[in-house]
Amino acid sequence: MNRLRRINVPSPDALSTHLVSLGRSGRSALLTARWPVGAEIAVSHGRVLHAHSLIAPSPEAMLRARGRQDEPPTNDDPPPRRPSAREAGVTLAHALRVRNEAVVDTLRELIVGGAEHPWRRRRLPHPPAPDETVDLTIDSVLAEAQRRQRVLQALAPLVGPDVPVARKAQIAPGRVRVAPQQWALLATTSIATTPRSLANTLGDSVFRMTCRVAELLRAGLLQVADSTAVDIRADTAFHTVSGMWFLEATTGAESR
Amino acid sequence: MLHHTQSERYGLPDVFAAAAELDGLLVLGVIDPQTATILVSHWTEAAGSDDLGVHLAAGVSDAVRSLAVLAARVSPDSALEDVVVTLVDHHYLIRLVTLEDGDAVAVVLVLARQTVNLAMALRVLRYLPGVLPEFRSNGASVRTGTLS
Repeated sequence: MNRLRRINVPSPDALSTHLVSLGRSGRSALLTARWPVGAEIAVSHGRVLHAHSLIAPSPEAMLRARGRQDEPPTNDDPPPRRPSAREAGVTLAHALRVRNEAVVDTLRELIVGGAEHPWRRRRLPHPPAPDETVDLTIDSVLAEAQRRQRVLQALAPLVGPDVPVARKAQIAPGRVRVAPQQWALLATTSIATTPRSLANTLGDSVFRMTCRVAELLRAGLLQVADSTAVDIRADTAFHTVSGMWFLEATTGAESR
Repeated sequence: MLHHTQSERYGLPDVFAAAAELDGLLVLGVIDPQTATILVSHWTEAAGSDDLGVHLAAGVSDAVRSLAVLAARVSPDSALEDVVVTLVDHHYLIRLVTLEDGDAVAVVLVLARQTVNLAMALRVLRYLPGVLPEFRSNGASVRTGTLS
C-alpha cells in the first residue's frame, strides 16, 4: 500500500472527480484530503481498499468500543477451540458489515463535506493490514453514499448526525422493550449528546447511529435536546421501536 | 453495488453456487437491516438486472423492523427469526442472523413460486450462515476465528 501514488485532493467535489476517474481508468492512488479534517482513501486498480478520516470511527475503533476484540490469553484460559461453522459464518458476516460500514460511511461524510465537526480524533489510524481491507468498486461506494444521503434527508425533520438528543426522563422502566444495543444507547443519553458522538462512544458508523437514534426518537424514548421539536409519541403508553424510511427514501428519490 | 466485489473477495460465489442448486432461486442476499445496505448479493439470470437491489434491501429492512415491533407487542417473550412472504409468483424468505455485536443481518432468498421446493429452500436458508466459511475456495483472507 505504500507504493500507491499520493494525490492531494482540495475539495469534496475534487474527491468525487478523482474517485470516478480512478474507477473508470482502473488506476491506483492514495487520495489525501485536509478539509474539513484529514482523510486518506486508498484505491487499487479502481477499487477502494480503505478510507479513514479524523471524523469517522474506523473498523478497529468500532470493534474496540464494543469490547469485541479478543482479550490477551492467560495461563488460566482453556485452549482455544475451533469455532463451529455457524460461528465462523457469523464472524465472516460481522467482518463484512463492520469493514464495509466504516469505509462507505467515511466516504459519504467526506463527499458531503460541510462544516467543521465538533468531534475528531487526533491522528489518522494506521492503514489496515492487507487482509483487513475491503474491495469495493468506486461506482458502488458512490451510489451507496448517495443513497445514504437521501435517507438522511428523509430523516432530517427528525434528527441529524449533529443534533443533540437525550433520553426522556419520564420513561417508566416497566413499559420499555428494546434490544440490548438500544438499551445501551439509552443508557448513554442521560445527558444530551449527538449521534456522531454516540457513534464513537458505542462503536458504530455515524449513519448507522443516526438511524438507530431516529428509531428511538420515533418510539418516544429519546427527544431532541433544547428544541421545540414535536414530541412524537408522548402519549403512547407502551414504547417499542419502529420506523419505515428506507423504502420511502428510495422510492421518493425516484419519483422526484 | 457493494455486493459484487465483496462476494468475489470473500469467495461467496461458491456459497451462492451451492444455494443456486435450489430450483427457482432468483436472488440471494445478505442485508444490514439497520442501514438497508446490501452486504452480499447474487442475482440469477432469471432475476434479471440487479438494479432493484436497493429496493429489495430497503423493503426487507423496513419489513423486518416493523415485524420486530409486532413480535414485541404480540409475543413479548419471543423474537423474530424467519419471515416468509408469499406473492402470486414469488416467495421471499428472510432469516435473521445475530452477529457477534448483538445486531442482526438478514439473509434473503427470492424464489420463483412455481418451481421452488419451499421446504428445501427453508432448510438451505437456515443452514446458509453456517456454510459460508466452508466455501472460501479462492484463498479469501477473512479469518474465521477472531477479528483484530
